[in-house]
Amino acid sequence: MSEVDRLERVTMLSSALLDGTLHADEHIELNALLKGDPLACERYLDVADLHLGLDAEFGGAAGSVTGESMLPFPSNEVRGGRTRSLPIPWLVLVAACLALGGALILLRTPQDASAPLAPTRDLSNPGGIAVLSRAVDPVWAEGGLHPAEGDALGADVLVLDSGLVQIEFFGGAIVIVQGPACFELTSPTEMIGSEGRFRTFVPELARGFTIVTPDYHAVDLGTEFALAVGSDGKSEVHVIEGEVRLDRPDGQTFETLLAGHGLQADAGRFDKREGGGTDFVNREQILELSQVDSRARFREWQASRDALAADPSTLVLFDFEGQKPWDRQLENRGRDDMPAGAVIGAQWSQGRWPGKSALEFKRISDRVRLAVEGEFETLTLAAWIRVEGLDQWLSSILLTDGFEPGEVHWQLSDQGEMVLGISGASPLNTTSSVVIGPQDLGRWIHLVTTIDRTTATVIHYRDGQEVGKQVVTGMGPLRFGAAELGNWQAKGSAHPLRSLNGRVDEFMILDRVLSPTEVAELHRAGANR
Amino acid sequence: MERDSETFVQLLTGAQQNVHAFIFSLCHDSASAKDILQETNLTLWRKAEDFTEGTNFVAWACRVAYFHVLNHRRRQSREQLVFDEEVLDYLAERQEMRLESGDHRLEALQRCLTKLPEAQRELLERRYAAGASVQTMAVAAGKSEGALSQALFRIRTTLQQCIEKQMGTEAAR
Repeated sequence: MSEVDRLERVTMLSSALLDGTLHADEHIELNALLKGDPLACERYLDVADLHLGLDAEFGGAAGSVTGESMLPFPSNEVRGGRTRSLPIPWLVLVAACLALGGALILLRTPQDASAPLAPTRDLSNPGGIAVLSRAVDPVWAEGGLHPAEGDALGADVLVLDSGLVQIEFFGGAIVIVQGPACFELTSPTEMIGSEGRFRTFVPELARGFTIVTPDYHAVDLGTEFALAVGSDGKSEVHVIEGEVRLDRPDGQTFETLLAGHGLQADAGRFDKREGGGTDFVNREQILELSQVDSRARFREWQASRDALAADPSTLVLFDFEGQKPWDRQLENRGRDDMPAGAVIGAQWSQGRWPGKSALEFKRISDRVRLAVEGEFETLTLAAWIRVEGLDQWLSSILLTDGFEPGEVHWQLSDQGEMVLGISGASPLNTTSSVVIGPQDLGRWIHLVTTIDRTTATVIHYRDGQEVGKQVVTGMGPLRFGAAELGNWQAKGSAHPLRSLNGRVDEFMILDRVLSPTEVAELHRAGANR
Repeated sequence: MERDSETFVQLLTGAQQNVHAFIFSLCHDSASAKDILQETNLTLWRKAEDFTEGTNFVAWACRVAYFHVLNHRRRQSREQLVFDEEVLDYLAERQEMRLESGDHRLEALQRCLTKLPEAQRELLERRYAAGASVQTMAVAAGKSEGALSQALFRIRTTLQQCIEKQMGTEAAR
């Protein structure tokens, strides 16, 4: 291409860019034409200047900037033709945010090593407003504070370029902040949000927690809301659960929002957002946030699992983690002398939270084979399970092949009860109250049964709570031998079809009885909020 | 310099057109340019004390604005970005110099517009005075976007050549 043709092409592409008709592949072409070519760059700037000139000449919207309207000093700031009055502290925070957000380094000239707007201070000796309880890939603005997980926070301005942090206010509220964000903690019960996405959990105790935005104070009257403030000052609030009151800066209440309702605010103009607010803090965003929360839960669960794996009484521990989709051998993280399981038919699937693996038992042939040799006086069986349907008279969680004396059968009845059977002269069955109702299908629940031959006691737990306790006399030593998770080798017994319809993402057998406290703790550590 | 001093207010007010042109040429979007200008103004005002009287205000303001442009870029998706940082950097440098030199493009443009055929003037009027997007104009005129974009491109080329001639004569005077 000749120089003239090149420049003409630059003019054409630049012109299209300003008209909003440039295609994505032409973006690349224009950039390539400008790169390293001063004349082409000059031409682009000519076209851009011409565009602005024409706009100014014809009195359009793009070109004219009448000085006054864009300036910060009068407290009356005109934006889009509407006059708004910003509270002064908010304006100062905006300025601080902007300076920290980018220009601070530039502004620190050699002769003027000007102090950062938010002076760095000793984080170990806080003013005491909140604590940074979690952080996921946080990038803090240069020149500002760089708190780490576990640091206490005082009355600080924080500028988060990207990433997520969770702040637990001493007043009880928990706020997950998603960057880019700029906010100021003002008291244990209040913060100012200048920019960013804030998801707030407010327990009963912390009712009244407030986020101050340019247009209103959002006061939580209980549980959960999401609030987004853009760099342009626009904001949206959406109540996820409970109730939020919106007050004007002068303290006058002008709106109370209930769950599923929201409001968009732009320079004093308000628009209701109904219909569950799906168009507000979008679902992806919420999901992203909950995943992050899950990641933290996941770490907590891992710590609990590691402790169990190290416990010599843990015979079998299937955590279903770290396995390839094609793996058919199920790693046993329990005692070293206990063999791994064998996956037959069951497919890998998602567990309690994104990133947690599970096995799905769907077809009547799906199962995991395992073998636990030995005789036991005490046992604990525990599983995280998501039942999709109680299709059979009995659905297997763990059943030994056949039902020889002393063997343990752990299953669910079609009524949704946990049933523990111990084979003896006559079978000893203990049944819990109903633990799986129709509303529980498709939900992850934690089931535990403890068997103590020495005290002749069987206790059932669901989600950490006792749901049945029975005295069972006449138990022999407890045994498993060859057994199956999610299915049964009937060996000629009645009701051979006991396949499970659902998923399991954690299963364990311990040769001791977990105390009610331990069961509750086990549930807590693995629960997906 | 005192941020509340009259001189600073005057400097800031007087620089608006130039700073806006600087920002617009880098972000090529009217709405974003105004947002960035507003942000830049706040920073300039907040950091007024860093400005030394007698030095070039536009140059200082452009440097502040550039950081806001970069900041704005970080929030955009990849598809929205046209220039890479190398090109952007060069454009910023060049545009700052052009603005500092204070050339008289606007006067030249005014003279050139008077020479434009009526039909072309009307097209510009619809595009700029009415603020119609090319898409809307195309629908209204029953033409394709491409055809309309092409027509605008031709008018801009004509005007650009005229402006260069005008400025050339000016320089030669």
